[in-house]
Amino acid sequence: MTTQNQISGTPGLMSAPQVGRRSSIWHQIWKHRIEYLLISPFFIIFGIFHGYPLAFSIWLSFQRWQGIGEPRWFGLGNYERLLKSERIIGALGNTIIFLIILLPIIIGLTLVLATILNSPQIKGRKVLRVLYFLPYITSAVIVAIIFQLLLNNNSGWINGILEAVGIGRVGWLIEAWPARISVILMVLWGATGYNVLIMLGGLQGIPAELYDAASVDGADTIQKFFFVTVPMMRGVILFVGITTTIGLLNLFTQPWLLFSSSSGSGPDDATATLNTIQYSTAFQASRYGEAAALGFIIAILVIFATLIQLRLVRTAEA
Amino acid sequence: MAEMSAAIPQSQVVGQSRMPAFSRILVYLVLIMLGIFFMFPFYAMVIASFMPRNALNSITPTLWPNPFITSNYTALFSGEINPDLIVKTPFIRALFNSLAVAIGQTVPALLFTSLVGFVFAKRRFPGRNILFYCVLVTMMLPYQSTIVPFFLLMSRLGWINTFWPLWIPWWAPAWGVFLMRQFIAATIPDELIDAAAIDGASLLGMYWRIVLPLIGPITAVLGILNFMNAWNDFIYSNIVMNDPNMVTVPLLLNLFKGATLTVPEYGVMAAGSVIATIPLIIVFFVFQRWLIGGIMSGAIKA
Repeated sequence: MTTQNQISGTPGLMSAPQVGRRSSIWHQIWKHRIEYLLISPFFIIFGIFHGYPLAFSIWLSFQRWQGIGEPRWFGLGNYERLLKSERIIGALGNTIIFLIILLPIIIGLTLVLATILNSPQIKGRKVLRVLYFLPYITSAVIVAIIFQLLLNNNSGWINGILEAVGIGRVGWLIEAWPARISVILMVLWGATGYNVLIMLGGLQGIPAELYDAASVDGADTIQKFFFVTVPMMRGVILFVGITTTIGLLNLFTQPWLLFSSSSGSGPDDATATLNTIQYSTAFQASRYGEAAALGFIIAILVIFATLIQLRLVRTAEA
Repeated sequence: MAEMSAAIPQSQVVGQSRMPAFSRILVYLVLIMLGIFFMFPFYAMVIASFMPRNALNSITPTLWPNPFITSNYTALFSGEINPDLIVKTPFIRALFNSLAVAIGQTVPALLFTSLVGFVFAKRRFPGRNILFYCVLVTMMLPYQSTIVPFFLLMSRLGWINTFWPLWIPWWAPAWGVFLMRQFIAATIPDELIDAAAIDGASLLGMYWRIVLPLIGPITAVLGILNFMNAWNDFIYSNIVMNDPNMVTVPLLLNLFKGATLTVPEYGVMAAGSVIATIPLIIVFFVFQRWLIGGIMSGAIKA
């Protein structure tokens, strides 16, 4: 992407002197009419179905509207009510719990697993890579069905196994902390394989000479991991950190489908997230203004978290 | 960060001394345990689909189908699952709906994103950067910020219980344009485009004869991920489809799951899950090389 000529792709035309000096912006636009024509179907759809809803959503978040009659101006009322609501505070607390537990586990587990799977000494690593990835392609609804089959209190297979080995039954789907652990397991099950692949991609970019040099200095496997792999993977680790954080701030399908009878809230609201509350506010209670406002609160959180972590990337790279 | 990087040399962890037997056994033990963690739910799904209802709801579950039955599958396809179930949609109808949603969404999306990606990558015109930034900005916004107006717009258009809400809006995916643009900018030399221009090719001609034949890998990756997301979608399908004849496979299975039966029909749900997962597993294995390569190169965002 260097010169004008290369981009426009028509050197003959472009190097010719511009038509007079009246080459206005309109002239430029007319000259590129075919480009506009080709991208216009995309941008028409994009504008109607992505741009317009965004603007509409901002407006709606300041209205009080239940889907019937005319929306009424409500100012910051929706935001005020949401930020004071105990359910919202509780859901934020749940999200923070999920983040604190899952973020280090996902990063640590996927980095270690990728390191192992990258080692040529391990046989069958290509097969393992595929096995770990398969959950990623499974529908969340199906995952929820299987997890209910495995974790339900009376006939769940896991409780059957736990009782057989003498540990006893756990109320996976009916007690607060076990319910959170169930959601955590479900997230881990789905997300690990994908992130292992990202980490593997990063590992393959580390020059082999660095490991050779470390060997010459007498470093063992563990030392190489901490003094070569981890520093070299800083960027990839932060990338996985950012996408995982965004994913967890958007956590919805796992609690919603595992605890569908309570609209995702789970026992004692232990698994409620901002998203499960938004979905039920909009599509069960039809409180559209409030749901739109909650959507923006989630968006602000996501953007804020992304900016913080991008800041970290820049500091780390400086 | 998400740039499509050219082939990265495969680094071998050379010079590494051979692991002592003890730690090697430990490593394999961890790998196998994780393998069980990732495979056991699939195992449970397949096994449960051949198990009768009373065995699945027994307080002492068995890990092997005894007796082994296939009636879960026949019940699924006949729609005659349980007299107490309100939903009678035959599974084949849901399969058809899912296929229609996934194909009708993916094929036009690939066409649009490759065309727009090409124009953004290789042409310069007034407003190009602003338009591209608009696409990038919406990529950063979570879907929650627009899902409410999305639904209201669909109701206003009278599109509830039609395929349109799951087709048209998804023909313009921001991330698809972004990835196509990155790929085309990085892999197709400007000289090729220039040469075609000298030969008098039109813009559409360049796209058709030069760009399309060269974007196979990214098209495969985007196509599979798009198909997969559409096939598995719950969040959007659930709000626009409520007619039992229009439900997709995930929605139908979810209706079975949410049905207020005193004893859930896990066997039938498992059978449906097996059938819904098989096409994806086949597609995955056919395109495995591209998909895994694409994700590993950091090109694909979740």
